[in-house]
Amino acid sequence: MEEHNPSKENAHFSTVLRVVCFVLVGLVLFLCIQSVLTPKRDDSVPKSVGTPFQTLQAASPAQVLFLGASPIFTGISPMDIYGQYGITALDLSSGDQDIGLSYNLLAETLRSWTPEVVVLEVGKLVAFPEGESWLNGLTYTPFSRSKLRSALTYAADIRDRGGDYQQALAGALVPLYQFHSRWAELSAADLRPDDPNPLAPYAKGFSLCLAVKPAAMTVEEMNAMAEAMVAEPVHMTTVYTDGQKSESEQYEGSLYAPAFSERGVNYFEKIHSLCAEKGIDLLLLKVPVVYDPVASNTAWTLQWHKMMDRFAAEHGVPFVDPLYDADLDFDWAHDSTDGGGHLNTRGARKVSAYMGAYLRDTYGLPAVSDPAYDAALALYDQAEAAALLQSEPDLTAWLDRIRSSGRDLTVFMAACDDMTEGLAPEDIRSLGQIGLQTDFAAMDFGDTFLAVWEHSAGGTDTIPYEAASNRDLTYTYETADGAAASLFSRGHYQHSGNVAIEVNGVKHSARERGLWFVVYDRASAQVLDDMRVDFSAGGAVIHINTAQNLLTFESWLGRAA
Amino acid sequence: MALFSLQFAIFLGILFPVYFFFPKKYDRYQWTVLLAASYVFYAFAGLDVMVFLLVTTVSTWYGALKLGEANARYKERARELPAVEKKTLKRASTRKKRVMLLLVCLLNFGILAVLKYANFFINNANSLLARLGSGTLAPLDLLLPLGISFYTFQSIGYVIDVYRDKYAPDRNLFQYALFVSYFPQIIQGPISRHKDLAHQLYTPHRFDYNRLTFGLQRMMWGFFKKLVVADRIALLANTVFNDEVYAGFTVFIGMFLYGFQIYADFSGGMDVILGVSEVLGIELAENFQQPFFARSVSEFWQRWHITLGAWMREYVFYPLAMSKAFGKLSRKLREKYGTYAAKTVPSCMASFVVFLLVGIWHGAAWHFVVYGLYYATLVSGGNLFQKSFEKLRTFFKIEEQNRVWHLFQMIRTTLLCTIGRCFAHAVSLRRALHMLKAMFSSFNPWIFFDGSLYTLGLDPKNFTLMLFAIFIMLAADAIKERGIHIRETIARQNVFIRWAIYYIAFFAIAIFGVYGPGYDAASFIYQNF
Repeated sequence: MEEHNPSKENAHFSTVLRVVCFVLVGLVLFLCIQSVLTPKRDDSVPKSVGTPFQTLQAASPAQVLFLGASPIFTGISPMDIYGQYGITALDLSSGDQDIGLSYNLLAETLRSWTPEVVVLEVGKLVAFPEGESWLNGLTYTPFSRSKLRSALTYAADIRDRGGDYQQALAGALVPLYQFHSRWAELSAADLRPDDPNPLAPYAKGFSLCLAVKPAAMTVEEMNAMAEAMVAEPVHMTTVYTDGQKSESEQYEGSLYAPAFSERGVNYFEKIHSLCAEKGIDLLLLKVPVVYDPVASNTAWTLQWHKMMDRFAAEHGVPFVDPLYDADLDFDWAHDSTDGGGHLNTRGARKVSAYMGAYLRDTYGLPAVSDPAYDAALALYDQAEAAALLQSEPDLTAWLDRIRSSGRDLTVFMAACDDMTEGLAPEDIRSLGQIGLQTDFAAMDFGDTFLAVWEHSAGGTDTIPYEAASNRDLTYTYETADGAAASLFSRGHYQHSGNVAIEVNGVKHSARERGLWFVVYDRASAQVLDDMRVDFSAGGAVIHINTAQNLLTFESWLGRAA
Repeated sequence: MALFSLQFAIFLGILFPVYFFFPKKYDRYQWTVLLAASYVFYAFAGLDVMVFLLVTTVSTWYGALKLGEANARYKERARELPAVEKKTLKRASTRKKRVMLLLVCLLNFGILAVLKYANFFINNANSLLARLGSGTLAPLDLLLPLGISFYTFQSIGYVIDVYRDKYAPDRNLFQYALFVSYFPQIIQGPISRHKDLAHQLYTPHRFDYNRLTFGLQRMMWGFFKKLVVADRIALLANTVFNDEVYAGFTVFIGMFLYGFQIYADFSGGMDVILGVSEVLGIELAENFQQPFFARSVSEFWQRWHITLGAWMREYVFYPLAMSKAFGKLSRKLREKYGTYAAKTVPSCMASFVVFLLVGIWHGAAWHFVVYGLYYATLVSGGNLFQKSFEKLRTFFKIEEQNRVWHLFQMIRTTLLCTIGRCFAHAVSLRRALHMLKAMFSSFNPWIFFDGSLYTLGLDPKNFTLMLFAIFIMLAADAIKERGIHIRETIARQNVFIRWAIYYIAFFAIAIFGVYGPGYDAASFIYQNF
C-alpha cells in the first residue's frame, strides 16, 4: 500500500496550478494577439459583412428565411417586409456566401426553429463556387457549438473539393492561422477592438446600403448584348505566361454561355430535400441585377431567366424573378449601389415590398405582432430614414426628407460662386419654403452665402441666421445641445474661393464650388449628412462620408437601444 | 502524419496520457503502447507500405537471432577447445554467420535498392539503350515507404552488431519491432544503435514534469527553426533554385541561404523528434553539433547528420580500412612511399567509398552521386594535403589558436559546403552545374542595394526577419558551442523570466512562422531521403 505523503501531494498540486495558470495566461495572450492580427470588420463595406451566424444567434424565430449571398443583404429588408406586411423574416447572408454555407445555416436554423418559407437566392446556383466566403463568415463568429459544426462541415467540403481538411479546419476555428502573416502590415488601427455594427441585429441581417452608382446599361441593352454574343461565337486563344513557360488555351463558342454550377445544383437539391423533410416551402428568388454579360456569365439575362424558370419547374419549386416577372419601376440610375451588381436601400425597398406582398398572397402568411420585431422596427425605421436622407439624389426631395424626419436637426449651409448655375427653379423655391430670404436667382459670381436652419421634431422650421454678400462671411453658432459650429464663405476662385463648415472642430467641406449642407442631429449629437449641390456638375447632389455617417448613427441607435 | 499537423498534435495528446497512465501493475508492458503508437503513426503513411517495414523487422530480427545462436554455440563449444581448434571453429562459425548476414543484408538492401534506386538504373539504362538504338525499359511504379533509408540502416546496424557479438540479440519480436519502428525517429532519424535505444524503449517510464517542460521547449525550438527560419528561407532559395534566369550573387545568395534552410529544417525536425522522445523518457542520439562552427569539411561531417556518419564509420569505413585488401595495399604503399602514404591513402579510399554511399543514400540521381564524390574529394584531399596546409600556415605565421584563423576556417568550410549542397538540392546534375556556372559568370553586386533581393520571394520585412531568425539560430549554436546548456539556464530563472521566454518563443512561431493557407510546411526535406 502506498504511503500518504502530504508534501508530495502539495508539490503535485503546485505543479498542476502552475500549468493551469500558464495555459490561462497563454490563452489570454493568444486571444489578444489573434484579435490584433485579424483584420477588423468593416461594416461600412457591404462586401465584408459576414456574420450570418451572429444574425442567427441574435434572432428570434421568423416566418421566412432568406438565404443567399450579398444580393440578399443589400436587396431584401426583413424590417421593411415586417413594417408593411407584418411578416417576420430573417436574412442569413454574407458577402459572396457559398451555397454550402447557406445549406449549413439552414441546418443550423432548423436545430432551434422552423420557418414556414425558405427563400433561396439563385445567384450561387449559377456562379462559380467559392469557399472563402464561408471561411469569412466563420472568422468573425464567436466560438460556439454551431460554429464548430459549421467549421467541420466547411473543412469536409474543402476536402471534397481536393483541399486540405486540416488547414481548412484550422483556418475556420483559429483566425490566427489565416492571418498571422499580417504582422508585416499591422498599423495602429489594428490595435483597436473589433467594432461590429450594433444595429445589425435589429436589421435582421439586412445592410443599409447608401451609395448610388448607376448601372452601366439598361436591362434591354444587357439582353441585346447577350443575344449578340450568343449569335456570334468567337474563336479565342488565351496565352498564360509565368515568366518561363507559356501555355495557350483554345476557346471556341459564345463569350456569354450561361450554365448551372454543379456544386450549386447539388447543394440546391440538399436544401430542397431538407425543406421537404421539414415541410417548409422553398422559393427561389433572383434579386434584380443588371450588368455587362461580357464581364460574366452570371449577368441576369432573359436567357438565364428562362433557364432558371425551367430548372425550377423541373424541381417543382416556384421561382420569382422581379426583374422580369414584375414591374417594380426600377430606376437603374439611382437604385443600384455599384453600377448594377447590387441594389441600394432605395432599390431594396422596392424588392422587399414586392416580396412581402408575394409571400402574403402566395403562402397566405398572416401579419403577426412580434414584440421583438416591433422594437427592432422602431430603430430600423430611424436608420433607414437616415440612410434614405444620405442617399437622396434630389435637393427638393432631400429638403422634404429633413422636414418630415421627425427629428431635431440643425442644418448649416454655406455657398460661394455661381450659385445660380446649378440650382433648378424648383430647388430655389424649396429653399425659400424652409424660410430662407436669400434670392438665389439674383446672386452673382463671387457672392457668398451662409445660413443656419433649425428644424424641430414637431415640424417647426426657423432660420436663426442667414447672410448673403459679395464679401467674405464668417459666423459661429451654438446649437441647443451645445455643439459649436463655425461657418465661412469666400467668393471668387481667384481669391481662393471656398466654404468651410466646422461642427465640433470637425471640418465638413472642401475647396469646391457649390452649396454645402451639414445636417446635425441633436439627439445623437452627430452629423447625420454631409451634402453638397455641385454647381459645376449641373446641380448634382453629392453626399460625402455617407457610409461612415450612417455607421456612426447606427452605432448610436444600437447603443441607445 | 506530418510533425507539424493537427493529426500529430492529437496523436500526442492521446499518446502521452495513455502511456503515462498505463497501470503501474503492468508497467512491464508499457512499451506496447509505444509499439501500437508507432504502427498507428506508420499506418498514416499507408497500409500498403507497412509490409516492407514488417519484412525488414522480421528478417533482421530472425537473422540476428540466428547469429546470436551461432555466437552462443561457438562460445559454448570453444570454451573447452585448445587454441588451434578454437581458431578452426571460429572460422567455420564465421563462415556460416557471414552467409546469414549476407542473406539479411541482401534482402533488406535489396528492398531499399529496388524501391529507391530501380528507376534510377532503368532511366540510365534507357539512355544507354537509346544511344544503341534499341527499345527502352518501362519505369516501375514503386512506392517509397516512409523512412525506409533510416529504418533499414538502423536494423542492419543491429544485425552487424550481433554478428560481431557486441551484444545478444533481441528475443522478443514485438519489442524488436518497436526498436525498428519507434515513431519519432522513423521519419528522418536519428539512426540509433540497439545498445543505446532498445533498453530505454522497453523500460517503464513515469510522467516527469521537468522532462515534459524540457521536451516541449525542445519541440518549440524545433518548430521555430522549421517554420520561422527554414520555411521562410525556402521561399527565397526555391525561387533561385527553380529558375534558370538568375546569375552571379543572386545564385550565391540562394545557395548560401539554402545551407541555413536545410540546417534549420533538418535539425529543427530533429529537435521536435528528440523533444517528443524526451517527454516519453527516451533519449535519442543527437544528430547535430553546431555544424556551422566546423573548421574543416571532415569536421563538418562529424557535426552534421552525426548518426549517419557514425553508421558509415562503424559499418563501412572501419571494415574497409581494416580489410585484408586495404592491409595489403597499405603494406605496398609503405614499401614504396613511406608511412604517411601507407596511412593516408587507404583511409582516403575508404572515405571515397563512404561519401559515395552517403551521396547515394540521399537519393537515386547523378547529382547525389556527384554530391557524395564532391565531399569525398574534399575530405580525402584535406587528409592527403594536410601536411602541406600545415606548412603553409606556418609559413604565413598563423597561430593554430588564432580566432581570426578559426573564423576564416569556418567561413571557408561553410562556402565549400555551400557548393556541395547545390548538388544535393538542384533538381538535376545539369541544373546544379548550370547554377555554379551562372554564379561565376556574372558580377552583380548591385543586387544588394537596388532591391533585387526583395523580388526573390521575400519582401523587405520578411527578408529582415529571416536574417534576424538566422542570427538567433546561430547565436543559440554559439552558446551551445561554448558549453552552455540553454534549457538548464532557462530552468534556473525565476518564473516571470521563464514564462516570458516561453510565451515569446511560442508567439514568435505562431506569428512569424510560415504556415497556413497556401503553404505546405508539413514536409521536412530529410523526410524525402
